[in-house]
Amino acid sequence: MKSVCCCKSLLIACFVLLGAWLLGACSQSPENDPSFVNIGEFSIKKLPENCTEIRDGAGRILVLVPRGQKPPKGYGKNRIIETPVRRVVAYSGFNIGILKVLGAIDTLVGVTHKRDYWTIDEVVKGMDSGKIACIGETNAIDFEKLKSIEPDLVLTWDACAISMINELGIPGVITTTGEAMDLNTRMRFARFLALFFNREREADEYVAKVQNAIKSVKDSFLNSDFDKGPRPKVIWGDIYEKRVMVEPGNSWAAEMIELAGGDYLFDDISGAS
Amino acid sequence: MKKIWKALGSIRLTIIVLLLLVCDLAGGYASLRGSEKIFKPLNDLGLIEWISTYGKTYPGHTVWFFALFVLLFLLAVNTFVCTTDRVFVLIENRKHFLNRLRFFLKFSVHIMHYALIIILIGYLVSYLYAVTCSNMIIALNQDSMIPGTKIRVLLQSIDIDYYQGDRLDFLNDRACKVKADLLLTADDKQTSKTIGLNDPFWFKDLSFHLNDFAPRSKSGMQRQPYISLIIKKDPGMKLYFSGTVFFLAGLIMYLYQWFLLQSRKGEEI
Repeated sequence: MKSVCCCKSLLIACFVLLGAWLLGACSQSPENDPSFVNIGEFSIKKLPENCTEIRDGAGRILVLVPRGQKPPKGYGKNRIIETPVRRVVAYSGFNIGILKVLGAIDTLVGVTHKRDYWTIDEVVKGMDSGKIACIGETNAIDFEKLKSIEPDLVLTWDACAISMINELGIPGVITTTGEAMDLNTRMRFARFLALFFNREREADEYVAKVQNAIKSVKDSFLNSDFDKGPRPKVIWGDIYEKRVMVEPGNSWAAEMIELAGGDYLFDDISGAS
Repeated sequence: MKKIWKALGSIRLTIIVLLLLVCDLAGGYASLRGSEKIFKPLNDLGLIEWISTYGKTYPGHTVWFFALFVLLFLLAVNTFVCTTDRVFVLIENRKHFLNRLRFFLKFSVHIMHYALIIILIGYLVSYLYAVTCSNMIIALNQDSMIPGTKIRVLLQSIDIDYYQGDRLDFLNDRACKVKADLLLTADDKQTSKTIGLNDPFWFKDLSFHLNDFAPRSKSGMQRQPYISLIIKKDPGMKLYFSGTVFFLAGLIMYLYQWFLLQSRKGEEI
């Protein structure tokens, strides 16, 4: 009798656990709570008085404060960014591409690499006119030059530059993550950058546009004859001296290849980009 | 009251909780795969902040974790009640023990059970009250203030050993060992410390851990030398270390008792 009772209570407890699980799974959506959104390893948390707490790619917490407003307590000087940002320095072409789609490229005042490296029209023209300065190569930044152009913010992938940038009294944000960005994160990263420039609407439009483009790539593969035959085997990587570095299976590149009908050979590997 | 106490200490509850823990952890294992980034911020945000952000946003992935808390709480209560009952019974029967040492050694299992509870409480305190500076980046010869303290830290040197060998060709020129010398200044006193991978140190109630460093490779893109530190003020750490010491003491007592009983079988207790 006792063992029957025990089994019953065990079953009830299991069902309660399973029920809670299903309930949780059904109500799950990152967009459920607009006061907190995470985009891969980045996160956005709304604070009172229109301030926003963000977590950058390296897990550093910073706060965005509307220009002229008193910042909330508990944040170091270099962790406070006044928005909208008016003068920005960016290391990565991807970040600059996002600034362009957000309509905020006119805030760009500094880049790494010389003029010949750049293929983005606005950057080339800006460098020609002297509006955009070259602050050096990524492994040899001219910090005096960086200081002289007085940026409000530096967007960098280079963690070792952060301490020096902060020493100059300029807030810096790391825009790359330890884990490779998946397609969803890569796309929604525009929403993260938009916060610095008050361009959330433009970011939403851009994300919708990219989602449609991805859908059309997927549809054209599904409707094509390629769907029936063997998938082409693909790898995506860079060849360096002595080694080849490939994108892992959790990267946006691998996902895009799979969507376009390819068979990504490193699909089973996950890790950094 | 007595009924509740008895129910909380029953072996039936232990079995149910343990079986549910197995189910919950199996579900957690399945749920965790691919969603590690939801749980990663738990290390530096703290439990309350994490629940109000990631925990709430992804209930499908985190519900097993909340269930784990409830089950571990029940297990801790069950262990405490059951052990306390046994300890009282043992004390009541102390006159039956002729040998004091043997009587004392009989507490070994109970000490281990209490130690387990202390370790669990330690982890809970850690998740609730630890303050973490998750990614403090310091360049070579740079002096930085640790946020929320009056301690300055200077990276004096960084010594990286690169793999040189024929056996693992692909690892050639890649960093395999790192040591960094730090100079810490607090209250005008300077202290030198060395940090490495899996080689943290303590300073003024803070624990310092090496998170990342550069350059990681001799070849390829040359990076500026830097280290990234995780700095933690964790009040739970002392608790779970003391729990571990208690557990070890209980284990030694248990083994001693076991050997004692083996060698002197038939002797009066």
